[in-house]
Amino acid sequence: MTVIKFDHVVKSFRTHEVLKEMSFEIKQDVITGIIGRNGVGKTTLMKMIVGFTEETAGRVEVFSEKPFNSLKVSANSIFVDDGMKFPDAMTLTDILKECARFYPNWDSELADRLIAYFGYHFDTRHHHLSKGKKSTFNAIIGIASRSPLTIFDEPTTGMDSAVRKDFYRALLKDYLTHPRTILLSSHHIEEIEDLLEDVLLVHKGIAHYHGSITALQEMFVTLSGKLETLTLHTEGKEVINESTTGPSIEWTLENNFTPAELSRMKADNILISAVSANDAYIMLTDQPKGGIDDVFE
Amino acid sequence: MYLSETSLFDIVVKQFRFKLNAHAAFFSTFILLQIGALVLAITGSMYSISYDSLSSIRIVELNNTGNVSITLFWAFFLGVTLMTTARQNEAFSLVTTRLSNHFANLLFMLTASLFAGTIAALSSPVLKLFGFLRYGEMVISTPGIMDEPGEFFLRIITAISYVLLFFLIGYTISSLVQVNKFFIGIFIIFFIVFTSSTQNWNGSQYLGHVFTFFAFEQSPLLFLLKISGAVIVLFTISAVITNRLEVRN
Repeated sequence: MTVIKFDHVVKSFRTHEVLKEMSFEIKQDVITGIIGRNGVGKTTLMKMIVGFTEETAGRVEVFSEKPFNSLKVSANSIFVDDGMKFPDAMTLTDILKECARFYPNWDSELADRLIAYFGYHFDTRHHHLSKGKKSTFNAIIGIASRSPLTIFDEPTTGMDSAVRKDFYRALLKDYLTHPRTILLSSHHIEEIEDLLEDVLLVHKGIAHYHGSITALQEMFVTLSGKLETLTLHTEGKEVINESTTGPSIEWTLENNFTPAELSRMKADNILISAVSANDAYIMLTDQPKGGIDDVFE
Repeated sequence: MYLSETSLFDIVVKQFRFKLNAHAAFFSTFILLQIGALVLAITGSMYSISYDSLSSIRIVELNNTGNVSITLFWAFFLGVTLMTTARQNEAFSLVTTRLSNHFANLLFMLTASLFAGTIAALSSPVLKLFGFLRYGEMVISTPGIMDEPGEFFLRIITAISYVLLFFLIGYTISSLVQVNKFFIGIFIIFFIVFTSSTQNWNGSQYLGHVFTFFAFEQSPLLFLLKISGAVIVLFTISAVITNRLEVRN
C-alpha cells in the first residue's frame, strides 16, 4: 500500500522555488532516508507530508488524503525535530501523559524504560533540558508513539555519538517488532545506511534518486590500477573522482560498464570495488562548479 | 499497522485538556491579582466634607473597578498569548489541525471566562462585606447594566460575557498578527488615532460608540445576543484567516 504520494509537487516561498517537480511514492512499512544537501528542501518536504505546510502546486497524498488540515493524517503521524516544543509549565511526566492520551498506539512502558535508560528525571521541565537531551527526549516520543507514519527530521542534533547509536538501535528494534512507515533525515548517511531500506535523494528541487541503498552504491564503481591500463579501459568515460594511493591510482566512474568490460578489466589487474553510500550520495549531488578549493583560486 | 480513526470532537477535547494543563499558572496568577486588587479596593478612597467646626461627613468610596479592569486585561493578554507562534507549535507537537486547535482555544477561553468572570463579579459582594465589617452601615450603589440590583446571576453572566469578548478581541488581534506582522503597525496606528483628540478630531468618541453599543443595552437578552454575535464574528475571522497558516516553522 502506498502511504505517501507526491505528484509533480511544487513549493515556493515568495519568489524562491524550493521544490520544483517532486514526484515519488513511499510504500507502507518502509524505512526511507531523506537525504540531500543543506537547504534543498528536505524539511519542507517532510512538513508537507504531515500537513504543517501546504504545497504551492501539484498533489500531495498521505493515507489517500491531502495532508494539509487533515485530522486523519495528523492523528496517524508524528513529526519529530528540534522544533518540537512543549509548554514550559509541564514536566516530562506531564508530557508523557499527554502523549498517551493523544496517540492510540502509545507504549507507556517503553517510553518509561527509555526515559530511565537515558537518565532523565521525570520531574524535569522540557525547556530546562540541554539540546542533546531535548533531542533524545523528542526521539523517545517519536519511537513510543508508534505512529503509522513516523518522521524524524535530523533527530540526532546535539546527541553525543553513544546516544546516537543507542537511538538508531532502539528505533530499529522497535520497528522490527512494530513495523511502520518511517522517514528519517540525517546529514550523516553513514550512520543510518544500515537502518535504511530506501533513500530519497532530494537535489535541485526534484527527487534525484529514489531506491534502495545498494542500488545507489551500484551506480558508481571505483577502479584502481596503473594509469595506462585505466586510461585504456575507460576511454570516453568521465572520471568523477580520482586519488592516488602508493603506486596505483583510484578512479571513480559512473557504473555503466558491461559485464564483459568488467571481466576484461579484472584480467588486466584492475581492482574493482564498490563505493560507500555516502560517496555515492556526494557524487550524485556534487556541484559542477568544483570544490571549495576553487573558491580560493 | 492499522490507522486510527478519530473525530474532531475527540481531538478538540484532548487539546482543550492539554491547554488547561499548560496554562494552569495563568489561573493562579489571576487569583493573586484579584486578591491584590481586592486589598487595594478595601482601603478605598476616603474624603471628608466639613459643614462647620462641629459637624463633618466622612465619605468612603469602595469599588471593584480594579478587579474588573484586571480581569479584562488578563483576558485580553491570555487571548493574545493563545495564538502566538510558541503556543501553536506546542499544540502541533501533538495531534491537531488548525480548526481543532481553534475550537480547543475557544473552549479554553469559554472556561477561563466562566472562571474569571464569576470571580470578578463576586469581588463586588466580597468588597461590600468587607466595607460593612470595617465601616459599618453604608450606602450601596451599583449603577449600570453590569449591576442590576438584585439580579445576582445576571451580573455574573454579564461579567463572563465581557471577559469572553476581551478574550476574543485579543485572540483576533493575535491571529491577524500571525498572518502578517504588518498588522502590529496598523493596530498601533488605530490605537493612537482612536485614543487621541485634537481640536478637529475626537477619536475616543468612536470607541465610545462601541462601548455604548454593549454597555447601554437595557435588555439582557439583546445584550447577550450582541456579545455572542461579536464573539462568533471574531472567532470566525480568526479561524478563516489562519486556516492556511504554516506551523512549526
